[in-house]
Amino acid sequence: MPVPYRKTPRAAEIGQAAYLDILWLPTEHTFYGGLLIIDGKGQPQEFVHNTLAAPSGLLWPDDKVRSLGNVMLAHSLFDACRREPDLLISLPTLGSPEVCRAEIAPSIPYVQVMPAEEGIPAQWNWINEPPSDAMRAAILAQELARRGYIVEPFERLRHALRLVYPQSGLREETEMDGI
Amino acid sequence: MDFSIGVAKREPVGAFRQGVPAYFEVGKWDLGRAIRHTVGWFDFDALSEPVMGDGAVTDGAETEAPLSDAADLMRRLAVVLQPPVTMLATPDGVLEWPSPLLPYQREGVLALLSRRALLLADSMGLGKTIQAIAALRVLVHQGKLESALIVCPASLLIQWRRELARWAPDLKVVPVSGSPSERGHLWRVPAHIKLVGYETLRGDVMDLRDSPVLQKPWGVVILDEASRIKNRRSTISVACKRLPRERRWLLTGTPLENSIEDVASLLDFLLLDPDSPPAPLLAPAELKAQLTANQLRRRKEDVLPDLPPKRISDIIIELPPKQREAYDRAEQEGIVQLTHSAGSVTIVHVLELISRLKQLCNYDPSSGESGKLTDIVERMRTLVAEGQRALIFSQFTDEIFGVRRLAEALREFQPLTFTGSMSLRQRADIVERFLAQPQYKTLLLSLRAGAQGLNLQTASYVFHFDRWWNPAIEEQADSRVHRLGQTYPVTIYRYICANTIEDRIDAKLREKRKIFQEVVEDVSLDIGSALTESEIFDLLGVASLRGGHR
Repeated sequence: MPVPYRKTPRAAEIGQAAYLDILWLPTEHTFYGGLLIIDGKGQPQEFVHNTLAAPSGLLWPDDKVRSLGNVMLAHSLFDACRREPDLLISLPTLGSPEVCRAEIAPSIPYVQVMPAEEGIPAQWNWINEPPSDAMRAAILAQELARRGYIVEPFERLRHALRLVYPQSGLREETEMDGI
Repeated sequence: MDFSIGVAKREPVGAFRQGVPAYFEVGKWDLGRAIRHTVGWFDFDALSEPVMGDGAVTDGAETEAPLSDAADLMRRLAVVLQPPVTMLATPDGVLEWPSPLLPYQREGVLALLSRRALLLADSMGLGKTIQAIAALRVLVHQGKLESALIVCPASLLIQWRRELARWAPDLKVVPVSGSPSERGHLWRVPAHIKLVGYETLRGDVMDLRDSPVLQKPWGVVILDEASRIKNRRSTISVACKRLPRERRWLLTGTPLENSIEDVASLLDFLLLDPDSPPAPLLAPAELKAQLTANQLRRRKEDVLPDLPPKRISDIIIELPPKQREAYDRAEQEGIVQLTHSAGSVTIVHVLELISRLKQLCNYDPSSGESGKLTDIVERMRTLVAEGQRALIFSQFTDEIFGVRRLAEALREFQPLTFTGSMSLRQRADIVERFLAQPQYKTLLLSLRAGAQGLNLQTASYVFHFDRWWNPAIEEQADSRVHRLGQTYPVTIYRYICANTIEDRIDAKLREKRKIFQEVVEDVSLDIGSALTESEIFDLLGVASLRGGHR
């Protein structure tokens, strides 16, 4: 019979987080999206990316396009993802918390990162119901924050998008609205 | 392509989906094909081949990119998706170091990573080995390094293996040793790191036709205790400089031991390509400028303010009467012999006499008297009573004047001995026993075998039973205990017998060290070769006998 003992979980066993980022290039009328899954140590697990060319014209005002495009591309990335992360993380550029909660609508805990500004450190806001401290997602969030993976994985993700879509105007755009 | 996004009608996929609004079904959008890459750590069995998915298109179609382009893209993706190097080196980073890298060590790692060539010249005991291993590991994890060669003194091979196992357990390390045919095989075994002693490397570079060591460029070559290549003309130095290498890192706490030419030789390795002729010797100021540009040096007092202090005390011993008599007789007879052979006296004869006199300062076999042994036994009793342990260094290893004599005299303290005549395995066992078993109160080491690379912080006292020509070696010996992890103040005792050759050597050492320190900060010197011939003759007051023979 195995001897029971208290085991401290390794970071990798704590869970996986999905960082979602979608960039809109109005000059190309195209969205570029990426979903980066990392484990509790910050180690990459999976990267999914896709593009979405948006319709244009009077019937498609810019704000509507951005709102719909974000959701459509996010869901295509979710569909392609083979992992089952415990936590979804995105930036405010994806939309207001209300829109994200209603439209992105993941069934897993979801946080929005507010990047650091002058004097104010980066912080995470729960978009849907905050998990209890004991929940896997809460532990994972604490672990990622402790290790400094609040905003940093988005930088990796954008690097990767520039790499896989070298012909796009991503470089200039992403440098302008740097995170 | 016009199509309606039908995802709202699908079942939720994975953990994300709760449902998709119906308005996505309308409109003209052109959604690409999502591409998924599995991006893990690097596959260490495949040696730096990244573990990547197949770039699978989600509907099962194949990627259109040519295979080589796709492979290149996957490799580059695997690199950019790794955590940044600044985070890899942090205590909480992915690499999970066995203990936190200190801030100055992280700076050292970053310096190694950012430079093609670097002389890491931190003071002894600051963890140069750890910094080099950490940098190697980060490079491998970043996919930027496929092969590394570490060259070190044979006595440090086990130490390196132990540190590699601790700090880079995921890297494959192959020590290269054994017969020539075994080594030929080992050089070809795939591994992240090949580890080899200087002498073995020299043989495999200089003696083998089509040497496997020279077949392809090493991603990085690390020379530990790099002062081993200080002599531009030595075969070890030549062999090391023939190594094809991209990055090159030198590790030594004493980049200058004898003369400014030592530094020039080190810089040749750092800055020149294989088989280039040595650079012309620069003026000291230019050389110093070049060194400044390529050297990272931190001193203990700068980066480890919490390291306990080191106190050095010279113990001046008056020889007891019979030992004094034996010593004086030997010195007089020796000088008389030298005088009688005036025309044929060489430096070898003088050095032989000096060595004989130094032995007599340790112990007089005819009377059994030894002022040093009497003193050290008393001191050991005191410090053992206080719960302390000590290292004792001697340049002699024999049973009359050296380490074995000390072992006999100090047997009440259960001494362990560590000398160059022991196998590497035996030496490692001795160190393990000393570290793990406090009943062994003292470790007796030959200076040449034990001064480098050992971590022996469980002791806090060091005795130099006799003095070596080179203060840098003594300082290295002191650093076995005065290093990271030491919690007690460290006391260094240096024995000097009054009115003997030891006294005169000590005075000469002080004088020379002062001159060198004015030229280069923290320099040390090997007085055995730095002293002129006439100065050595002068130690015995026989300069007039110098006949120009060598």
